[in-house]
Amino acid sequence: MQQHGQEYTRPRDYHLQGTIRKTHRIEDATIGIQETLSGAVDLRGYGLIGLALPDLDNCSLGFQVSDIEAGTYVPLCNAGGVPVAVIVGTGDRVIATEDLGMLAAYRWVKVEASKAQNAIRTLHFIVKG
Amino acid sequence: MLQWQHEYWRPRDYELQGTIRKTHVVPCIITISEDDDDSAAVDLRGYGLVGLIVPTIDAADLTFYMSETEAGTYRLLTDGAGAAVTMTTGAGALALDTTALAGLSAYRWVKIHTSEVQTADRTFNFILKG
Repeated sequence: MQQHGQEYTRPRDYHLQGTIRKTHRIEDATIGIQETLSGAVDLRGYGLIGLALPDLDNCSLGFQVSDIEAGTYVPLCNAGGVPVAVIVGTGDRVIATEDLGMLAAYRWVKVEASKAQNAIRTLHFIVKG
Repeated sequence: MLQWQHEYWRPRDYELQGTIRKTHVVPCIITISEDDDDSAAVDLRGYGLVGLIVPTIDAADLTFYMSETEAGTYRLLTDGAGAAVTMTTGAGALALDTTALAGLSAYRWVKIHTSEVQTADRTFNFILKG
């Protein structure tokens, strides 16, 4: 009976309690006309990162990061010291989360296209905490 | 009835509630008057996602030494093949891929070692998410 009482007061979704991830936060990164570098995006405490791309002038994407918003942005590199690049062609696609894992720890991020864009491009970071 | 009340007061987006990860920036400093190729110890605490912003440095590779306690013995971080986890950073002014630093994730106390001595104090910044 005591066991029954404990069960009764337990919320029905007990197994979902705790700190589950927030979802569907969207942060925009905009690249201006004839520019390659976006404005800064704040990825805050979000550790799972997706990136939805509009149509682009054929390019690959790299990233610059900083410890503070107004700080010095430096290229994000792999263990070999080579800047990471995501091949995106003409865009109109989303990038697999695991292929953006290199960004997971960082907060302030800019996207850098390998080629100047002929129109304003707004990229959408889709993140979970 | 009690169960119903619980449901009633639950926010509609209950399943989207929660707390996002904390973020933190931790300086990791090589003070050449003390040691010209080893940093002071840094506490990564409970943060599981690790980034590292490398300042301009005298060209060097980076390796990491870890300890279970702050004042303990710092041992070289190696991969499963026994090789040192090494970052080729050249003259620096770059940030390191989070996945390349995944080997640090579980550890708490860390020191950075540069393969070449530094001629000035260097401040690296660990970027952490919990």
